[in-house]
Amino acid sequence: MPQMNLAEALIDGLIWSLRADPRATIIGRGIAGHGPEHAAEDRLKQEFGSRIIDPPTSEAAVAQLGTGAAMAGARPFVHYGTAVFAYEAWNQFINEAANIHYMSNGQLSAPVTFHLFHGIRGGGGPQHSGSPYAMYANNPGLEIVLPTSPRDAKGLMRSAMASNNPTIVIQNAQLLGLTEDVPAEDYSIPFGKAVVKRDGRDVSVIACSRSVIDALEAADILEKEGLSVEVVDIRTLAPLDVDTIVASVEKTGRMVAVDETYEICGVASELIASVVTRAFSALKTQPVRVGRPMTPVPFSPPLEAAVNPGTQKIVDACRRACKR
Amino acid sequence: MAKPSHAERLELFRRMLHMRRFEEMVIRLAQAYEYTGRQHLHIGHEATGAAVAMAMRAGDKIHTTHRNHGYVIACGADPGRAFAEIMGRRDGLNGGKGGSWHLCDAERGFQSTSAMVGGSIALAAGAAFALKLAGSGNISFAHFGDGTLDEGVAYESLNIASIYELPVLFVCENNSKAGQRPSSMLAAARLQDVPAALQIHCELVDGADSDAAQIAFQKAADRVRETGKPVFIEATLERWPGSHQVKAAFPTGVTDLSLALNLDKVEGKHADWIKQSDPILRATRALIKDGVSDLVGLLEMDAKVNLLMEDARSFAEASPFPDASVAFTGVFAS
Amino acid sequence: MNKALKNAGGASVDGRLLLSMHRTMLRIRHFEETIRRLAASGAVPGLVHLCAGQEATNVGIIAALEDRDFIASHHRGHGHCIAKGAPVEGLMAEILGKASGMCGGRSGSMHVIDMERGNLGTNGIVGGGIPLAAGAALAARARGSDDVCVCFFGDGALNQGLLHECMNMAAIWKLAVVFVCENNGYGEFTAIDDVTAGPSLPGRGEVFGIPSEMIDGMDVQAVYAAARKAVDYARAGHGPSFIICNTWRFGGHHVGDKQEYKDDEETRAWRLRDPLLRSAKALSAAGIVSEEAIAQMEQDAISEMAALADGVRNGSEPAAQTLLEHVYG
Repeated sequence: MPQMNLAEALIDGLIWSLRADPRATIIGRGIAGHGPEHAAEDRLKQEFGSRIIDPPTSEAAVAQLGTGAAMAGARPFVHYGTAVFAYEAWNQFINEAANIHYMSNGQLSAPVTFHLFHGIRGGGGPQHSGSPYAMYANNPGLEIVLPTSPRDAKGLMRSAMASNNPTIVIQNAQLLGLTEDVPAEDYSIPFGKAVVKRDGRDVSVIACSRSVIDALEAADILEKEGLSVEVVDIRTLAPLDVDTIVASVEKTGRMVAVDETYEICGVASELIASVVTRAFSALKTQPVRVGRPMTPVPFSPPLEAAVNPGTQKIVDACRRACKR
Repeated sequence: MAKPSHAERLELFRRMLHMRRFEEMVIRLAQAYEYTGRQHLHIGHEATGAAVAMAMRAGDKIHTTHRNHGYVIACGADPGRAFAEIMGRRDGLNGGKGGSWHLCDAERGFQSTSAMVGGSIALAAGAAFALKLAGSGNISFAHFGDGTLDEGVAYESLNIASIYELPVLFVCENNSKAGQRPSSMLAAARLQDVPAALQIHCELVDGADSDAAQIAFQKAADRVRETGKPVFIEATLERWPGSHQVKAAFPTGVTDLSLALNLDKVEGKHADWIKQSDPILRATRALIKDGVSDLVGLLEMDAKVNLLMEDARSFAEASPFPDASVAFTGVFAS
Repeated sequence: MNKALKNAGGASVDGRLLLSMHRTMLRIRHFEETIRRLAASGAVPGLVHLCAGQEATNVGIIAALEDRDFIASHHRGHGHCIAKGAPVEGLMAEILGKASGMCGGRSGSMHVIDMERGNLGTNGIVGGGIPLAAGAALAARARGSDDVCVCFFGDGALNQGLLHECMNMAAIWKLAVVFVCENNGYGEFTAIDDVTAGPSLPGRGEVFGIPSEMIDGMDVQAVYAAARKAVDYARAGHGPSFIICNTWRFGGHHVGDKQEYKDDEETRAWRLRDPLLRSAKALSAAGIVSEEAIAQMEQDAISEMAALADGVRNGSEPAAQTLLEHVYG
């Protein structure tokens, strides 16, 4: 089994998608980022150069180009680089792509994949560190995919490109270098299936994107203190696999929800709501929420670290949930 | 291209009558029912809409703005299902989920109506992109008003269509009065200066002249098909006095074809519009003058269209409201 | 020193002004060089975009402004900040995320805001400064002032709908805005010709009846002359102008960009057009100052910037307790 970093796996998933479907096409460049992993994109260019266009810096029209093309039978993959740039295409994502299937009563669909890099990335400052997926999740009609491992990235990308819905694959930019063995062959991972990344008895950490990696690190630290932490990666925010989350909390009786979006109306809030409204009695202690505090992401490293819901905050939250 | 045949001119007129009588029925329905929402009528734009629809071939796609009824009818949608949609009924084109603002008849290439200014122009560029990729030889049509060119997304889309040579015909219905621009706030002296600066071929046509429109849109569509590049047509129109309908009404009266030969009988506040700008009356005169038909023939056609619309209204009225459970279905495609 | 200069392009500026512009360009060049070194040594968080090569467009435009006038910059904006009078130590500290930075380390290179000097800020969003500038011009009019506002943007922003919308509004309302496109040939890594339609770039402004011209952005005198005209036009209440300055970024999109997408021959040719070489030559040819004096000016700029680096680097970092300050006013 070959080793791939997450960027290479994303690209591999795309390559299989383009091989499988002649309607698939790429709008954008820098799909593997501009960091050390950027060369992963070369394979895609070599095999499918003629099916890639490098668009102008016209975020709104590019989103609509992808959406209109999807409605007319193409399967576009639209890359935005930094997620916050897609704020300029808010209308196109929400009013057009997300609505069209419903408002045409099923006559049309918009099978477009939007690809965004989100998250605190080190010096991104207020305009390059945004994680908009909680805002997207507040709109019906969008599928939201948050890969955290190379294997998942490849399989989820494959599903995104095959999906008949507008799908946002939103990738934490700092995870692109994660490396593991990835099956060389074509495979896909279905949406709406959370995965237990680590078994535990005492507390369930339900997380997504970057926070899954931080949670696994926190679990290692806490293990030395005798706390057994279960880590669940939701993998897709829409659809959300509430069953797996609830099963984990029912097993451990304690819950920490952690995610990089803002605490208020953020993903962690939704995760807690989904548990307390379904399995309140399973909770032995008050659930704990870890998210970004309500401040723009500052530039300076110590300030940036203070807003990042990283490993230490998860460790503290687990101790609180377990009353340690 | 050659001047349209008599049969083609009559077909254009037939579609125009469908559009006009449809809209008039929408006004009557709005008067009879207190349904929610509001509609933007296409009255006065029929020559343009019908000419665009006739330039479409099977497999072509069109995206329109909120002033969409005429186009959906000109494309051949069932008027009963269109009325039902506007009334939010179960048998509507969109099952009641879209309403006037989002009529859709994908089977006929009528992709969508975007109620966002600038929505249709960008979606149509996307459709053209897909059609180009598919290599089918089909083209897409973008319908929008003069106000759309105030939008940045329109400029972005025109640039993209030009640079990537997308087969799209941009149809700009300019119903702002010359020099006054009540609906757009564009600093450009002429609307077409914007696409021209992006190297898009531009044409100007009197959008209320059915013969000129039929020739211009056919020619433009042919050009898009042949060159694979976009073309921009500005169709100038005199705004219908009832185009902004807060309360459903017939400010210019119910259309009477026989007035075409008795213009001196036209009186009242909107006499100028009826005499000079109503494309239906202009087409009536032209068809009779050119010997394509006589008034009796056109009146017979009109009577048939009126009957069709009566039936369509009955169909829509008989259609129940959708079951509330439907509100929760169809959010995602399977 | 006061004699007027003539250059090949026919633009002429006062000798004292040319000297002062040259000095500012030198300070920008060596400020950027210092930042480049700091970034290479890992002292700069995040990506940093340098303007070396574009000094003439920064300085030539801003030299035509009064202190009270406004600018809105972009992600490659250190030169604009310096030309508008920003304290270089505070600017450097901000770029390094230090407590003594102009924005307390909150904003970094891409969001340096200096309201005291009418700088609406560098900006991380392509074209983001354009509407801010239009707004500032509208505000100036509302308070009965004839302040002028310049917005700088790159060629990538030419395809932003916001530019079209703002040019239109500025034209309709005759706002005192000067639209300045610093065309360095690449939007991030994409060549301008690959994404920008139309027979001429000035045509994009002319559509709105905006006086538009394309100039040599490597010639500070030509830039100043165009800016002088546009700023006077705006201040007189005639409305916006559009200036496209053809220029070149020597350092790629950001520090670390290997620039494999650029053609070596093209790079060499542009290097020869270094705006600093050009103004130095003009100064000595006209006998404004001696070559030795010019060399000394450069040495001074190098020393000024190099002397700052260590102190700024070792400066204290902002305290995490300040995190929630200024979220709301």
